[in-house]
Amino acid sequence: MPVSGLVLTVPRAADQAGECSPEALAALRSLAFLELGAAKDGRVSAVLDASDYPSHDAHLATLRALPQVTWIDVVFHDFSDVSDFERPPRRDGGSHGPA
Amino acid sequence: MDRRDFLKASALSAAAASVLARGASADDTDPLDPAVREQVGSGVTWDKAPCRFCGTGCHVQVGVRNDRVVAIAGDRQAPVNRGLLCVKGYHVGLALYGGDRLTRPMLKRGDTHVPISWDEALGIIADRIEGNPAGFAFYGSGQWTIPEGYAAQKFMKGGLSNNHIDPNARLCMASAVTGFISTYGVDEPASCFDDLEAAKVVLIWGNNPAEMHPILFSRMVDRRGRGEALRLIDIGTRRTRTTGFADDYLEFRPQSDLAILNGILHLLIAEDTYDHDFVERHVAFRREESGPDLMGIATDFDTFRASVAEYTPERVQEISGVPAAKIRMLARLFADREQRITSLWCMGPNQHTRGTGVNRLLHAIHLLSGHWGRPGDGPQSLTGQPSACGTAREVGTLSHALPGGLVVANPAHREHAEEIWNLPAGRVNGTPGAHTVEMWRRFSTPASDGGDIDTIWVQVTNPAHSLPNVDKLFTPSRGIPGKFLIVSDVYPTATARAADLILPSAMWVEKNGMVGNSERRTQQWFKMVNPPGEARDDAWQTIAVARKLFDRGHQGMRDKDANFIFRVNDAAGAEVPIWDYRHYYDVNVDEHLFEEYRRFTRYKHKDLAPYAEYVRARGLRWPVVEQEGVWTETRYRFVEGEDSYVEAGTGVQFYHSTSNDGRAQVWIQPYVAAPEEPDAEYPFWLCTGRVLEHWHTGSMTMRVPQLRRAMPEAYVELNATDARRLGVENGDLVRLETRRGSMDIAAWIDGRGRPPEGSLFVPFFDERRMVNQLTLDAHCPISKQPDYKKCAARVVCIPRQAGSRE
Ligand code: SF4
Repeated sequence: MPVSGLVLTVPRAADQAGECSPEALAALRSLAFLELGAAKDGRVSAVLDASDYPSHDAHLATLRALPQVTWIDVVFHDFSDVSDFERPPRRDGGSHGPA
Repeated sequence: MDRRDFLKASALSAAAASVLARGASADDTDPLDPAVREQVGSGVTWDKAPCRFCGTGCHVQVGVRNDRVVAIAGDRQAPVNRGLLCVKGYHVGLALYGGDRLTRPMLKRGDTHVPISWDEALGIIADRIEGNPAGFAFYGSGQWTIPEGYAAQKFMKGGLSNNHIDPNARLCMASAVTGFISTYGVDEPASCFDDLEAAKVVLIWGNNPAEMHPILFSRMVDRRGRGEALRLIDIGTRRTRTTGFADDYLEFRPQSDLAILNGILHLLIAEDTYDHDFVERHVAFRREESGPDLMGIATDFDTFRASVAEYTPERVQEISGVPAAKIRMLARLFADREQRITSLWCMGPNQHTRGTGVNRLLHAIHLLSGHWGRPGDGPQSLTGQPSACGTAREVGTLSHALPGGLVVANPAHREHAEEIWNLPAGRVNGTPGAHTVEMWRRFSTPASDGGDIDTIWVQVTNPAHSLPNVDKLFTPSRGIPGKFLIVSDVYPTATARAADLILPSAMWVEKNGMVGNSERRTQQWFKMVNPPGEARDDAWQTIAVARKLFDRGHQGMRDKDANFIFRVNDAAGAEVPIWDYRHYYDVNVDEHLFEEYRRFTRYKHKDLAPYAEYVRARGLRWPVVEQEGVWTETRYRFVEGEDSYVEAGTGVQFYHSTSNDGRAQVWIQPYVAAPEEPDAEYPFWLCTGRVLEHWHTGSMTMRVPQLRRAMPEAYVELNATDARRLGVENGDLVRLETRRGSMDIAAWIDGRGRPPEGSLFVPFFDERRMVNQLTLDAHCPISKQPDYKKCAARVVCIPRQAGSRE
């Protein structure tokens, strides 16, 4: 159950006073999977909490696709309860045990 | 509050701290947000390490519990990333835990690999070396740590008197090296990442930092977020994520970057806007004598002016496709002394059959215009691997090099190396060994046809996947009797699976390490968890083979006093048996190797500080010089007030000048066509490269489920007009063919990257879509770096019912 601390770069308010655009903040607030924290100078802190990796990845993809999000930085990631790992594809189509 | 709420609070707190404080303040020395430390705290210990992946060199804080990495946080004390990480960086811990880690040495018997003991494995390597010492080669990596590369370097050049050692960095950075050496007389960028905060204009040459160096790119995006004016100009052969942020996009025909750069130089002279004072005091002119060569001969300004005269904006437009008005725009930016211009480049100019030439010209536009040496004002080449600079370039694991910027062909340099290594005179061989392409060509050629290299030991890289024209340079070796491939790796990569002997390696924080990033920053970390099974440090593997040879009486493994060349003593002066892995961590072998290596670094003013300084720091940029008891790093080389080797009153002094007069060289470097261009038979340009989610051949990132899910397979980017003409729709399988090979791959039309009509792009991370079966092994004649960025290809439609996606 991954948890990520994110810093989202968003457009600044139209008056260029250094605050984040209200439209961007509203768009982010509408996302149930995201909890917002402090915001300043066009950057918003957030935590992304997901039940599993597929939904974590889907949420990140949703964020990336938002026109109000210009950049995503990650400052913290916990994966202490991940235990199953997929194996990569192999050119010879063989299995993925030790070579 | 349960553990999950704790974690969420920690994550939010760390993010908020980044937003509010932009990393830790000067008086806050905690690399982690205190809330993270407190709330994740139970049983988790934290320590610093540089990220395992790219040459940006971000620092992470690694959280460990029960001998396992369980959390990653950006390091707030790290000047490079200030607490931030990219998507690869925050998954770096997961790269350790793929399900198919190699855990035992294995020998190929028939069609399978069978486990053997370490002692047997070491004995087999020693047998191969003793059987044909001159036919043995070592192929390493820009992912070798500094001590690993240094051990391999000393083993080969100091122990075996054999210069057949080269790193995979030959494939990514060699042209940058020859560009720096032939311009300044010494390798590596004089400037640093601080430029990204000071530049007013950043020119991005054939590079996609939004995906390849995302944290550096995020530093630029962040400036814009603060309302600072920063003009980004993307000069490339296809639209990328970087283009989306650029103010200007200049799209050029592959190879014609040479013409664009000459066009800028022409206009600076024709409009008399070059910096007369800077040129008068700091610049000399140079040309190649009769063909491509590294050092060339002196020439004069008038000859130089005549050489660029043909590159009028209109002529450059004809060659490159970039409108003449845009060439004038670039020249006028350089003409404006008030601007602060940073040029960034990486693989585009380097992987080029005139890679040295493009690199020289990138330096030339800055030198001629005087945009050199002020913060934000200079050329800055980037690296793709975490220690392409620290290990391949500084330790000098290239076939012609010695540590610290020295070369084997120079008798004084050899003598210096023999003195530091306490070796008898003449031990170091003066003839450069085989460079990467040559090494693998000879390995893939029968001995009867001149293929005199019969054994290659590969560490920390995957040449079966990453070499160009792989079915010429790698594949044949596997069918030639007598050729023996040894591979040290952490996963069963394509190369490991093809090996005769596989050695399981420790990875990243499973061992001590040091690396050097793209801005001359040397970084250190300690081992935090144990490697799985019998996996062991690469440096230990090298030292253990050396000891095996020593025990068999090999004279090369003895120094002048008959001591083992890797002898390490304990505090009481007794030798520690570091070749026995049970004792490898009785002492800090990395520290011993580094302290010896450090003695090389003063010769070319690449001074490194004592090991202990790096334990405290988040990296230090060399030269690191002791001033009044304080080890002080250097931001800008050759600049008075920044670089302590520059004499007072000179302002700028190129103190390794090849013309011996303190001047940098501006080279005549005309445009020449690519060796293979599209024609009627193969009408497309094919370019290869990387994607954000995956690192190089994907051997680590394809094992991280979320990265793999985010980008599961390679694709070919196709322009929409070409796709319509060919009748190809998004996701259709097409057959891509070049004169060297073919493969079936899904088309992505108007996707993340958008090539122009007549161009294709394929990323190389995917082992099932091995694009290096198609690429060209033509290379720069000076740097020997192959051109992965351009060859001629065609696209054949596969009827939908016949093609099925895996
Ligand atoms: S930018 Fe490079 S070094 Fe930094 S976190 Fe990403 S992959 Fe790692």
